[in-house]
Amino acid sequence: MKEAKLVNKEQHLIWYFIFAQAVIALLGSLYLSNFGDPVRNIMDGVLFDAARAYDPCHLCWWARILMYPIVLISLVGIIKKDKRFTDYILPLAIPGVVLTIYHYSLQMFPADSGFGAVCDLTNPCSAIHLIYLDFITIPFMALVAFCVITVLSIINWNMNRQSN
Amino acid sequence: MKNLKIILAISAVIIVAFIVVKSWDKSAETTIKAPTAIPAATFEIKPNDWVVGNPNANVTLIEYLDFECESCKAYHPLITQLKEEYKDSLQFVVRYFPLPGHKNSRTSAYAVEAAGKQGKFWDMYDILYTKQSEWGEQPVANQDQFEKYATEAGVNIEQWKKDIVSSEVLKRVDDSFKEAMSLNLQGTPAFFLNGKRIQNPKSYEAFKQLIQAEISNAAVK
Repeated sequence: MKEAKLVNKEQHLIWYFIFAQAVIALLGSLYLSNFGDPVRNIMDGVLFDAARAYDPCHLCWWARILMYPIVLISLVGIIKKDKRFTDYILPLAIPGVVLTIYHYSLQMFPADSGFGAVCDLTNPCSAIHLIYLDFITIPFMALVAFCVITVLSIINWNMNRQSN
Repeated sequence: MKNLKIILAISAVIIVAFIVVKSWDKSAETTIKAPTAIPAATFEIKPNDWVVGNPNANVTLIEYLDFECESCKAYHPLITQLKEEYKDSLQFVVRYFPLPGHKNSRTSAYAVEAAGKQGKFWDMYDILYTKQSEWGEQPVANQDQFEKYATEAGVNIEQWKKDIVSSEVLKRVDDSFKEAMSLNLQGTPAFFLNGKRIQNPKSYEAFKQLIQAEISNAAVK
């Protein structure tokens, strides 16, 4: 508990941001897979219709495996005031960044396009279910979330290093 | 620093594990094979098939399609051109393969099949492809929209409304879907030229060459 007293307000804020970002990613992904595109749903006035849901693709499941534990790890870290909890988050967030870059590139640069292409029977990872402003897709949002968590975790790690 | 090395090492292990699993997945995909025994009757023209072209032609092109599929839409102008250019030497057959990932594909197939019962199959077929951007990718299929297109195609709308929910129409689409699944098709469009699966041609010229070759073969026989 001695260590906890050394933690300053800025560092606390970083922890809350990590937790908040992970919770937003968790709730966002669950909304998409249960009720579909939130913007479209708001415009249509149908917020909770399961028929509008998107099935998560294979890579989206990988991203979930990496993102969801961050919610619990950061929550426990905050409760226990364990300033080193980001050590457990970085091994999830860094692969998350790599994974979502790969996923986003599959969407933006599909291997098959134009003539010769097919629409897949399975739920392909290259499918773009929703796109805002011509570039914001689901993997892009996941990428941003993983980047935010990685950067904040590195800042926290750096703060720990300086305080030691 | 020791901590950082451990973190980076674990991250690297996860990334490598992901790459290994992903490449294993890919090799599994390539081993998917076509079913060994396809009944020959599958590629014979059935009484309820939608066919256009010369009924005496020796060359038959079957397309398994999904009206909501963008790739099928991309092929639509090309197929239209083929139908025109080879109207004397080719029979073109349409079969449904509504992909589960497309939320409007079944309803669109029902809409076309129901229009077909009034002799307006090809009109509805053209309208749905031309207007795919209006009705495709909707979170829930909107029957009113299809009703509008059916009116445009010139069907008796009251009859069409009965037909679109009839068990006959539903069964016809479902049978076609099951057939496509039994052929182990992995997507749409899927073309069969005289019963042989062809890779989706990359251009109109490439498509023409395949058809031309088949016409020449048939002539020799």
